[in-house]
Amino acid sequence: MPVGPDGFRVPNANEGDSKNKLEWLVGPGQDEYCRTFVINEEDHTLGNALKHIIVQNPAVSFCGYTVPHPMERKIHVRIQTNKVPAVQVLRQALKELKEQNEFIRQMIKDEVKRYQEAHPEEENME
Amino acid sequence: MSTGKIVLKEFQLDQEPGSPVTSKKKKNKDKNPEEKYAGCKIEIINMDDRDLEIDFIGFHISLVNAYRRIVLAEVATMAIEKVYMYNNTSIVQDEVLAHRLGLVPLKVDPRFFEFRNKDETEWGAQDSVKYELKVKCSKKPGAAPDETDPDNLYVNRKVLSSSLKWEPLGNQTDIFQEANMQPLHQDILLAKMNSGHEIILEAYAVKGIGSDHAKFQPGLSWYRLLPEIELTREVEGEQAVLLQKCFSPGVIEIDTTPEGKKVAKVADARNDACSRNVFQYDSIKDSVKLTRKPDHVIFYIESHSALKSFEILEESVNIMIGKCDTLLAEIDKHTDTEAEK
Repeated sequence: MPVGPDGFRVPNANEGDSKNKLEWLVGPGQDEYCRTFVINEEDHTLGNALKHIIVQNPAVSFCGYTVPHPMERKIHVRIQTNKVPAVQVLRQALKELKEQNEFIRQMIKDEVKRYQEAHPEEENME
Repeated sequence: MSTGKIVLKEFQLDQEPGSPVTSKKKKNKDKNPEEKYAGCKIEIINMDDRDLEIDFIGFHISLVNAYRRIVLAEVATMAIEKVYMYNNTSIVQDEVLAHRLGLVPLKVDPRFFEFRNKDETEWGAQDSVKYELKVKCSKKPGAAPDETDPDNLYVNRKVLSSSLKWEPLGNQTDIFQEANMQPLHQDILLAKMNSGHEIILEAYAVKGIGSDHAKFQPGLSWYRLLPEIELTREVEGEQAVLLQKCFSPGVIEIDTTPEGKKVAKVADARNDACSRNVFQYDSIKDSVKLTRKPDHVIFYIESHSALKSFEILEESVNIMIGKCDTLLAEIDKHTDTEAEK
């Protein structure tokens, strides 16, 4: 949901955004293995998909995400593990999600090609 | 495989055990993607440039929902954003007309453009498209004296989207052809005018995303789970006709047996709207089991922009990959700085 404050544009990566994309909370209940990550400028789109993948990791004892306030564009992702650093789990999950998406991208490409070859007459209609 | 179907009962939804919806731990690390996604399948049911019906089989719903959300909020398209109104003597107010112009879908392919920078004061060839609209309404000279239809009495009674003329900026003529820069539909009514009314304006289109304004949405997207209907006993005669009426057209068919008995059978549960009307009738409500398959998602995209339906889906997958990439780079940045300490 990355809309800039001035409306119609997405702030691009090399623009000096004062906020980091990824942060984590400090305080009681936060250590290397149990951590609440703050992902700025993201919402349920990434949060839910990511949570689902992290939960599948056998090293993880708990994972959940929340949107702390509907008007603030950020999510909190809580990861609790046994003996594996939480950052590593997050990293692994992101890699897994990316791999899954790349796989889907290829599958869609193949399927579109297959469909277009099977239905050439519809191509000519336009 | 027990897939944990969702059972639609009369008063509640039940979940069969072994649900893929509640995520279970997997121990399939170090496998290559082909093995890992062996049970997954993507199948296009129907596709043309505007509409797409595609089945995602074996994927978790969170992923499909992410694509839906990205299509609605994050896939970029071009739309008119700024209007310079030089003259507008029509009865449509400036701001209303400007808003209507913004909603006109354009044929311009957004992938050739960049997002406009916020401090930009010039309209650059790489991030904006210029249009001009100059229309004047006047009495039609040769109109019949007893003519009452204003469409025949006046020239330019209706201002349509076809009057938006593309004005190339910079080197845009080298890259684009006029046919690819016009509004997607030529017959969108922008305003109605009377004799003597005139509209002169300049409009600039930029690239934007749906979470900023719905005019930037490339299309619509929604999904549903595959419905399944199971007849638990034979339904015949009057009851068969009643049963057929309880479902969407084409879902239940009535066969006639050689003995002349009418027997209901499920022809195509896919098209069912899952209305649960069957539970209104005590005589037949025990004869069916209605379920939905949570790992079989029917996904729809309806494009109303320059992007074709399947291109919208491809774009949304790319955006999802982009999100992962940004975060992965961010984690690497953090771990690098920590290693330096």
